[in-house]
Amino acid sequence: MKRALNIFFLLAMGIWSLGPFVWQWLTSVKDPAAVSRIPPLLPDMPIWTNYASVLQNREFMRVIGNSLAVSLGALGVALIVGSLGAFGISRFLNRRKHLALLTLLVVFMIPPVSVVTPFYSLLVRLRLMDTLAGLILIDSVFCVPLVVWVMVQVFDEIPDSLYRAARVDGCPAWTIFRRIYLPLGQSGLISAGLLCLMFCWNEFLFALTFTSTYAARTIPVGITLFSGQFEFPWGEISAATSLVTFPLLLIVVFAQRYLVRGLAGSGLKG
Amino acid sequence: MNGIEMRQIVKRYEGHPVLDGVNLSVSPGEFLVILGASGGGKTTLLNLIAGLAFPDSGSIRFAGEDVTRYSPGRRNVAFVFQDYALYPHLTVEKNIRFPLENLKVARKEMAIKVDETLERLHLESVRRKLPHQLSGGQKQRTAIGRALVRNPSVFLFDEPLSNLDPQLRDHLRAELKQLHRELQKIFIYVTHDPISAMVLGDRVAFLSSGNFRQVGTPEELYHRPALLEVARSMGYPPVNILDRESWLSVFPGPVPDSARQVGIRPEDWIAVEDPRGLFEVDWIQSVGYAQFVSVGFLGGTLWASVEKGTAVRVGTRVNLKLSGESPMLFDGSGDALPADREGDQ
Repeated sequence: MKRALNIFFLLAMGIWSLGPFVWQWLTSVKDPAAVSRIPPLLPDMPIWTNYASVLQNREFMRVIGNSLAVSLGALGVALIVGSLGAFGISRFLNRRKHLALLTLLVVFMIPPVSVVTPFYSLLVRLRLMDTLAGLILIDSVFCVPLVVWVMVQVFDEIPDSLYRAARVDGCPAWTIFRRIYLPLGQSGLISAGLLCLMFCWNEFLFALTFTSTYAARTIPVGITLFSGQFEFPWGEISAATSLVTFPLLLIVVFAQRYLVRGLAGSGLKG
Repeated sequence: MNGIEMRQIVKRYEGHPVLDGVNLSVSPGEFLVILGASGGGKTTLLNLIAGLAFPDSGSIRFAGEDVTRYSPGRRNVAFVFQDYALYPHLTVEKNIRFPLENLKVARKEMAIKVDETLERLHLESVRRKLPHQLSGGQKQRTAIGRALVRNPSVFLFDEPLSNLDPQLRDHLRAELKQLHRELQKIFIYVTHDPISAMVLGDRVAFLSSGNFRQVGTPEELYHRPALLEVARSMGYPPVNILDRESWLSVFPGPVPDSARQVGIRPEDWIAVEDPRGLFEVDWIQSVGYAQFVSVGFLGGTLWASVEKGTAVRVGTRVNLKLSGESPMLFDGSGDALPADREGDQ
């Protein structure tokens, strides 16, 4: 009985969260004429024309490239700056450590909308409007604290005696970071990195506000621009969405272990 | 002077002095044990010698050279930590090579030195294993190997044997002593365990409340403690301490006027069966080679030994008799009275 109940709730949860994805995928392989008709729920024959037209769309390819550049760029900045920051906080701040971490947490607490205007004027002054570098900079603002949070937890678990041993063995702090802390914090770095990637890949508000051409538009923005003034090409939108959610799906399936650890480390403890 | 000279070392944490004007000389090739309670500044002292922390004032000299402000890398000291601090992601071989890489030693020379060290410490068979795959003894040897490979002038040990099971601990103590004989380098070993201190040290330095209270051979600390505190910390069963009046009530006899407290080791006090004796045995404790009895006295407990084959049982009435060793005498502040004054008055 209890088992049946469990299965029921699991199924309900599954349909609730996976349903939209399945629906979207089904839409992407339907004949455009049949999109808004139910039944049939399932198409007789999947058709791939939507995918073909998305993949031939130069602008959309550009958008995918932009998203890759922004995500990987911000990821790089966040991993380097964040892990160094975490090393410093974990190693050298004692009583002020908590304060430092709380300050970083504030970055997550502020609703993004409230910082759009200051970021906007900042990017204008830096002449980084509508550039990949500008988006990398803004995304880093959110990714660096994320990496710091995860990595401080990881570095805190490395025994003090390892640091002292390496000092006695003649290492400067930089070498200790590179040769002891980074290798030991590897799995934490992967967790933090994946969370950053997901954040950057999905980030919409800033990407929309700070871009005006295809020079820097990212996927979430690009997809909204699929719709023209009078028509909604649902098939193509769905195909594009399915394409770009696929990498995230892979991450979730194959790197679940790291994601859980990263989320648990940064959110629940601390 | 080729040893270590520390002069007037002061180290404070948050205004509170952890080390308060410490002086210490260690001769070349000496095995010195620093004995003291946890939190008494032992580890701080090691950190200062290693260069992991700097004193607020005072100086440290190695072989005459002032190293007070040198970074750890420049001092050529080796540090063996309580948990050994082996790098968990590196094999035994790479752990041992690690310090050489920082010294920019040529690759060929590095390989030769690592091989030599592995061989000397009998670690060749585990050279490609990771620390978590090693036995306790192998871990200690790897930690020592990592220290040894640089040919340091000083070895520092921070209670590395304290958390081990007794059999392994004895084995590792023996290994450590053997290694010291071979290397003839300065070993400074910090511990809170008086038995380790007595077994290992050429000399023992007793550290308490930020300063050395007595430095001497283990026998000196045991038989002629400079302080009540030192007497109390050495030996098991613990030394008996009686105030003057209680002592005189049991042993009427000459005690110098300035002696406020009298101490006597359990092995110097023999319990002899006597139906009209003052004491009643309430516990017999055998440590194998000897037996000790505890008797209640004025609300406290006294320990004494019994001779082999005695009929003393729990509940037996006994008297206590001195076995020849004269009692230790302390003044009101816990300082030992000078030995040469005993019996003068």
